[in-house]
Amino acid sequence: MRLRGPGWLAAILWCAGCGAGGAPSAVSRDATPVSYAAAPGATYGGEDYRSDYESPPMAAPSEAPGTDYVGTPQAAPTGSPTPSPQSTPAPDAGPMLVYTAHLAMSVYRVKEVREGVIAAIRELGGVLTLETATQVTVRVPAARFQEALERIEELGEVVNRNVHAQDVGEEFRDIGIRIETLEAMRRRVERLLDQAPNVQAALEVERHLERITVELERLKGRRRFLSDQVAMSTITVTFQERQVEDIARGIFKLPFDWIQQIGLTNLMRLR
Amino acid sequence: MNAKILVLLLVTCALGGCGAAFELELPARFVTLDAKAQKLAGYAKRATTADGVVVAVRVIDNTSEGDLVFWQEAVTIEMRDRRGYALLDDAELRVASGQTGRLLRFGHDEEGEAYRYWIGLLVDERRIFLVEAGGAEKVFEPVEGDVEKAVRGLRIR
Repeated sequence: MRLRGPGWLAAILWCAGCGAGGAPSAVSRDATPVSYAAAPGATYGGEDYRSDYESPPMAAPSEAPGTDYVGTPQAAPTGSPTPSPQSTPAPDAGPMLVYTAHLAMSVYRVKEVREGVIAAIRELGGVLTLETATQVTVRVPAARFQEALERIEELGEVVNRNVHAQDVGEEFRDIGIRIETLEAMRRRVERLLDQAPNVQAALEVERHLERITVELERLKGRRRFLSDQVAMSTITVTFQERQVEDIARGIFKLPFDWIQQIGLTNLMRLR
Repeated sequence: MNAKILVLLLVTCALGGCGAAFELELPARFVTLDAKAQKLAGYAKRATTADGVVVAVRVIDNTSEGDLVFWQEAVTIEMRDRRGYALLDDAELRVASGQTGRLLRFGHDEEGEAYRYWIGLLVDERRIFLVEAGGAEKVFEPVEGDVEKAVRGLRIR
């Protein structure tokens, strides 16, 4: 059957209306091909989980077939243990936790400790994302987040520790539903394109198709980002040199007056 | 006869400065500054050009019995680490009387002007000889060769 005139336009409008609002009946929540993992024993109790000194729960994504997650390559060094999520797939309503930690460390030799942190993280399959003289930011597989914190804390005195877990499960699921909806819509619009009675109608359908495609890519990108954030935890470590006595600030002076008197100032102050 | 010889020796010493621990022949254009005033400032001798290149000698009792290595290190740390001078060169210094020490050449910038500062360091069991020379780079460089010649011409007694 080929649609013509007003009937055809009505079909486009019907399609355009499909994606708006909540989940359409054609795509059930249960059908969303997304799975995730929550940590066993997680103490999650809301949107955010914060801890100052408690061990955080572990969570790592477990990408199910059907998702387009492309994991960040995290090749572990040869011989080092491969990161393995310690979690099991959870039902749809479970949390997907993004872990971030900020550690402030007081250390004796900043450079050595900084390099030690980087080496430890690499051994755990993590990567360095930022390094300055007094700060490093690293990302580690979520399953090794706790181990990474423990390794770092062995390298110096932690003066401030802040661990934050954010649940992105709801957003992740919502995105999955919207992707499903838009993909269904795109398939319908593509069929309509085949049935376009003339060039003008075809162009109009194509414009609509393009908008759907752009939105789909945006949502998929966001889903990949969330997956990556869940898969890899972020740890930022700031270093401050351990305050010792003021030896380096001029307390030490040889008890020979003439040494303090050498230099151009005295030499050129003629009498 | 003996009395005459004694008087002659005393006169010679007085004129020739046989009481000085060293002898430093100054280059042309330098004038020696008043000895008493220099002594108060800690210098055994100080001389200057009209445009501000200064050469001076300090003689310090080495009561701590530090050796050349110790004093060289002490001076270098003082100048470089505490005063912010740049150590441009560190070379052996052999003076006319045969002793060897170190000649440390420093550079220093102050308010956009470059300065040179040398320290010749000679150490024996009793004394430390410090030959200082310095001035603004623009006036120091033209007499640099003469200053080095004077420093190397030092005679320690």
